[in-house]
Amino acid sequence: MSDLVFLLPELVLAGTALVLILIARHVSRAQAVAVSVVVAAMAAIFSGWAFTPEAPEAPAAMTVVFGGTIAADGYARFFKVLFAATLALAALLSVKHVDTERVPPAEYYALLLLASTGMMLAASAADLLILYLGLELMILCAYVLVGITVNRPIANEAAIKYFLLGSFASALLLYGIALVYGVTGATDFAAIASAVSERNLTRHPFMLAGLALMAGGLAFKIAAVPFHAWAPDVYQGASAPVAAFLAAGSKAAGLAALVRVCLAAFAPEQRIWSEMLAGLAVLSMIVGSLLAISQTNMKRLLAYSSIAHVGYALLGLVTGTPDGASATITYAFIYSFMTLGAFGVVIALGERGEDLLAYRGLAATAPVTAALMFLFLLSLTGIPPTAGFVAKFAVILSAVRGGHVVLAVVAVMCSVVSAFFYLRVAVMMYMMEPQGAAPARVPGAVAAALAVAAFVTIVGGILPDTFTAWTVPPSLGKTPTEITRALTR
Amino acid sequence: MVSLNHYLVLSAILFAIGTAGVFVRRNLITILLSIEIMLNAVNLTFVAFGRALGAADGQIIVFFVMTVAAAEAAVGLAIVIALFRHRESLNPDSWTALKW
Amino acid sequence: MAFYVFAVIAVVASVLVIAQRNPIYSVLLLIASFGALSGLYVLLEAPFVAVIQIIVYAGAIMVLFLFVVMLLNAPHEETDYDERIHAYEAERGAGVPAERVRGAGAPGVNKVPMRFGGFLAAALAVELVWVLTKGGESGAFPSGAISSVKTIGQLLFTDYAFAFEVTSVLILVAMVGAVVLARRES
Repeated sequence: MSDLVFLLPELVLAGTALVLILIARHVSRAQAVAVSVVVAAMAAIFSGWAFTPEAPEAPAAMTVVFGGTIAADGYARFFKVLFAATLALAALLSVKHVDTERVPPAEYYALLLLASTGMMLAASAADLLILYLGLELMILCAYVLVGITVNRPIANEAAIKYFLLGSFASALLLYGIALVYGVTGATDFAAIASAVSERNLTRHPFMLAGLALMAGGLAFKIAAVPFHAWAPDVYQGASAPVAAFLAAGSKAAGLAALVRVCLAAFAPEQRIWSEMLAGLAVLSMIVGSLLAISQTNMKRLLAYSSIAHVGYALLGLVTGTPDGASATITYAFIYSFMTLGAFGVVIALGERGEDLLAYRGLAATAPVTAALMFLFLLSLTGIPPTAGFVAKFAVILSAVRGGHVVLAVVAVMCSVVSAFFYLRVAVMMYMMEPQGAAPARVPGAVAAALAVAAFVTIVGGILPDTFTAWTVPPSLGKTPTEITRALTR
Repeated sequence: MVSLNHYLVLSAILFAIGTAGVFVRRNLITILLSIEIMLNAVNLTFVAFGRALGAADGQIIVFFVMTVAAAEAAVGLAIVIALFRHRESLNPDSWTALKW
Repeated sequence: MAFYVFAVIAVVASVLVIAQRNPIYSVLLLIASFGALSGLYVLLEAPFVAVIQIIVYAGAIMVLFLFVVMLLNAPHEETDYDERIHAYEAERGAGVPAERVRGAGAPGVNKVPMRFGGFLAAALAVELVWVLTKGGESGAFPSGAISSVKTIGQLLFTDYAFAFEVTSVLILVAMVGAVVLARRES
């Protein structure tokens, strides 16, 4: 019973969702629902923060509850805070969209809440079954959210494409889980790790096949090349707030699951998954950056940018060191706010915001919006006074320290390429003549979300340790077991 | 003598058939059915491994997989219905708003 | 011997599922395949799974599929491969401007995923069978399988109680999602 206290964030969100579904008939306006969702998200942040204990100096690598299926540790807490914050921002960004598109508000927000619950479960899972169920909960909500504007054919197409590729990837993940279960006889991370090292299964063919299949399934969730094909279409077809939520939340959830699985369950296999992830990272950085150049739709541009960013984020994990893993999850945290901010500007500009040409001369007609966009673009490029620079610097540094100099060089070169298409938007905003009328006033809810995203982007850049200090303490060992222990502290 | 490997090979074949169906067919319903074949192949793997390990976990995981499959099928078919209202076709090639 | 009978039925039915043009036959064949799998579960001494496979999978999920196929009055898969390519090209020409990067190789655009898919499936089959035959350790199954419903039920509501609750939320999402997606706006 006392174990439930560690799941308070999930319970708060799921409970709010249940209440919303019950009163759905009596809800017609999005604003009140959005406020309640933001309050629930704040309650989740508070309860996650207050009740998750600092991990005791136990011999076990993770503090686990519920018979070893849920980890109650700093790692889970870090991601719960991130997902609750993402949820709150997405809820604010959605208000206007829900009203204008005549989406049923209670159901929409209930699905946002349950998707966040699934993300939290995926991040706190200490068992492959819970991990799978958490990711499925998240992605089922995501399919519905993408297709929720049933009158827009483009949204339907995006939803079915997402669904087909997503359930295919889930089946791959599940087959991987089955093989790992078969060879180790366990689904919880600690038992898998000990079975692998005790019975020397590192090179067992089932293990390798299972690892590859699971890597494929999880690579889909984070949209890493070559499992990225859905991302541009889904982001373009979904409404902008949903795309923002997916870009920030589902990507971070996938990374959370991937880092945890690699370090906790498959620590003895580090050399093998390092190589696979290095391949994914290089492909993602190159393909994402190159394909972003020719985009004319802002949401597609941000989709390809998200593909490139997941490549940078993986650089940290590739090294398998505690610093690297910390850099990866810090990257996920900071990237979530940058991309929510950039999508927030797209939402603030309304229908026009999707077209790249709409940004011409924005600085003259809407100086504050343009300045915010400039800030997020700088951060996405990774230019110094912003959080994006800090995050990118950390992953590249960890790659160099881990001996992956080639990866670091590729990352820097791709950053240079990406500067071209990010800063092209900035040039359009500041150096070209305005087109058409000035955009309408930015709604208060969107402005609030933008302010939070900008705050994180600036503070994370000026005080680099603000968001990294939560995850990994400075003194760390070198072996995977020590990393796991450090990550969970 | 039928051994664990027989079952594993069978499930691998079924999984591959499902994969082929997902990519080769051009009919949404058939693609959804192919995904069901893949999930069933996984279920067979779980039960066979559970039997070989002498544990009930394999069978229990199968229940969860079935539940997820049911939920996925419901959502997927709802999306198909929504899509069909606009397109009157189940062929993915007939949609052009997004590139495939 | 029973294994081979069921295995052959399962494989043949599954191949026919993806070879059929008429989705109704595909659904019915898949039910046959599930029946064979259910027989295999009996051979594996998992009678409860076998029953659930028939009642839930073949009985409920497949009926849902059949229902949707009937509801949509879904046509046969359209005509021949080449004709479809041409129709697709014509539609594309008139439709939304294509994304330039991938549109470059337009004529072959539709064959590539199919060939890739066939290749992928074949490679997967070869790899999996190779891995499984190579990695197989023990031949025969140990005696004393856990097959009583009581044991399974006890585990399900103790060790797996939390996962059980999560799946209840999952079903809720499926219900809400299906209602929201299939709604018709006036």
